[in-house]
Amino acid sequence: MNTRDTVLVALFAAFTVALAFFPPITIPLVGVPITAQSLGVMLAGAVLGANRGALSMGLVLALVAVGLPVLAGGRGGLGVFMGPTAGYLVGWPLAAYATGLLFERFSGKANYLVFSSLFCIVGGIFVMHPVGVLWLSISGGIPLDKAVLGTLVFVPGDVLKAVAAAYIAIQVRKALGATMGYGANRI
Amino acid sequence: MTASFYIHKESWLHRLAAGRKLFCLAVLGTGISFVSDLWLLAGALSLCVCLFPAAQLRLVVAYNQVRPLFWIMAALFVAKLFTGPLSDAFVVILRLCILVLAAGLITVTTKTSALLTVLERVLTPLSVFGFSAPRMAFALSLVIRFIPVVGQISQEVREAQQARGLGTNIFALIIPFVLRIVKMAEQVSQAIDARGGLPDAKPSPAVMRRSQAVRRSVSAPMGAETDQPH
Amino acid sequence: MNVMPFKTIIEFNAVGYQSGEHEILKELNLFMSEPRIGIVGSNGSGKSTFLRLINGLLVPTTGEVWVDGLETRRCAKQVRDRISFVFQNPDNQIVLPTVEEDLAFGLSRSDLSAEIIAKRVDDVLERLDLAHKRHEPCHVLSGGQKQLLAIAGALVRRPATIIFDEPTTLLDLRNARRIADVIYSLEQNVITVTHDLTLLEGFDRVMVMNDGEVVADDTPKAALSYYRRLMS
Ligand SMILES: Nc1ncnc2c1ncn2[C@@H]1O[C@H](COP(=O)(O)OP(=O)(O)OP(=O)(O)O)[C@@H](O)[C@H]1O
Ligand SMILES: [Mg+2]
Repeated sequence: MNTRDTVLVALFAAFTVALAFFPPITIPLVGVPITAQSLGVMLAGAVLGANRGALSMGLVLALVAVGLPVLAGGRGGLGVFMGPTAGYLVGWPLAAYATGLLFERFSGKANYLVFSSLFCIVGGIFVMHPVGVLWLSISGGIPLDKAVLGTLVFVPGDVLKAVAAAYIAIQVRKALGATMGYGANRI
Repeated sequence: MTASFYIHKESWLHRLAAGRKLFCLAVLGTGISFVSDLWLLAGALSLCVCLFPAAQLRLVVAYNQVRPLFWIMAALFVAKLFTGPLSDAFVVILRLCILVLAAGLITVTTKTSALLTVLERVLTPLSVFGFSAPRMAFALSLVIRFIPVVGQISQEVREAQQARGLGTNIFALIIPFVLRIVKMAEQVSQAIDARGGLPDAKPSPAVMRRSQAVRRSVSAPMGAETDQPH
Repeated sequence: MNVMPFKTIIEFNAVGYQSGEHEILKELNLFMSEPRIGIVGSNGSGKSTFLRLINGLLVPTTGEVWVDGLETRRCAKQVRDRISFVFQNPDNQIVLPTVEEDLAFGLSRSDLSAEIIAKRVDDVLERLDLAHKRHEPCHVLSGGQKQLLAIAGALVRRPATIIFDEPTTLLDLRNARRIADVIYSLEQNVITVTHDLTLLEGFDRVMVMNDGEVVADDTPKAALSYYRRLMS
């Protein structure tokens, strides 16, 4: 972790916090309004890679824990970690890590929308949701299968978000590779 | 965005050390999962509620802690009804309310700075991904410093895109936003290097002093209302 | 305020800087020791790159930069202890939440005791008229105050030289004058890039950059009139 890495980690955490205060935005063509903050999780992984992405999401959670209203809707505080949906939050660093790992491992493929969407889906859905469901099932005391059923409702929306995040990640990586003289895939 | 959820009062709960409070919460969280007696839980809940006035806080503060969870708890309650007896449904809801209230009580009675100190102490033995505790503390203050700056950038990007009629287009908003963040990171890290670089991985007296200053400062307002348009 | 015992001597030996294929600076040979040096030039002519080469934020792709006998590639840390940097946008160089702790940040890597750090922070706050802001969160300061804080962050390290990259570009006329006064009042050597040509009138030496080269290097009067002709 050099200076630049540390700053990127911190600024992406600040970015994710700022997304909480974004007005609802829509995905063109599909037209569905979405909350922007969860995009930050996948983007952190896609743009910063596994370690730095996970760390920056960890920083956001630390800010939540110390009682700052940094989540969408101005939520925050320790109570958030006690609620039944806390697993989805705890899943942030893990999701960013998984997405980041895939972008790092398969960076050659990451410029195709299909692949980068897949990477975002793995982190944002296949990692995030199991953690969330497990937590929901334990803290809510409901059987796992029922909890899974409950989370499935959110999957279609999250797939859309993952594709949007993937598209953004591709454009960002292209722009940075071209104009800032970085190695095409290393920021 | 308001500074934090902390509400300043002079009560014994406010004075109680942050570490102790968090320890109690951990004990409560573990212990409560073994309790399924409705009366015991109801008693614990009333105790939690009573602690709010004991901390010189109005009851609406307690209500505010659980209010965001209302719908999810209702859904949970219904789900529980289908999978087991009514009493089970109540047990789950009661446990959740107790924990959320207790955690919320800590949040409103403990200064952010005190919680930061505990966080730093807890993290000291774990050096996560090569992130030592002083580095972590530095990164946290960096985030706190840059939330208003990033909020300002977000607003600039939004205004620019609104002018082009793309005010709600996710791509038109987020792509330039991320690019500006990365570019800014470049300049900020150069500035940090020019000023002597990151704080040492192990705390020096100077860093200790600095992080004490951070602790004092986070209770100051961080994101001014004007920086965070809604 | 006591500064380093002697002023800095900066030497560029056949310095070139390339980014990929793009040649940003071409073979510079320079010797700089004047108290106040100004640099002007069109956008993209390489001024910021030039400044960053001086204190080792960038290292040359060919040639060497020497500061008081220290080579920037090998001794970046010592060089940066001698030379502080003030950037165009103060928001990017204020890194901690409140005024006081941001100032102390620049000394956190030093071996100074807490009392000395506090004393230095006090001095510099006093000197730049920021004492009443010491506990304020940095983001509530005005643009001019932020730039003063950025300069304070450079001064608190007690360097021998301070580099400014367009310090007044984002400021209104009054604040620009204020910063100019501060620059003239410094006992440190100053190297500044600016588009504010009046700022340079009292300087000792002005260099004009164009397309990665120093095309004029003279007294302010001569260099600035050359620059005006170049730009017309
Ligand atoms: N990291 C980089 N990668 C590639 N090119 C770069 C990089 N940084 C700067 N450049 C290019 O180098 C040239 C000089 O840039 P520099 O920032 O030094 O100019 P400048 O004189 O400071 O300009 P301005 O007046 O706009 O600040 C420009 O053409 C710029 O596009
Ligand atoms: Mg420049």
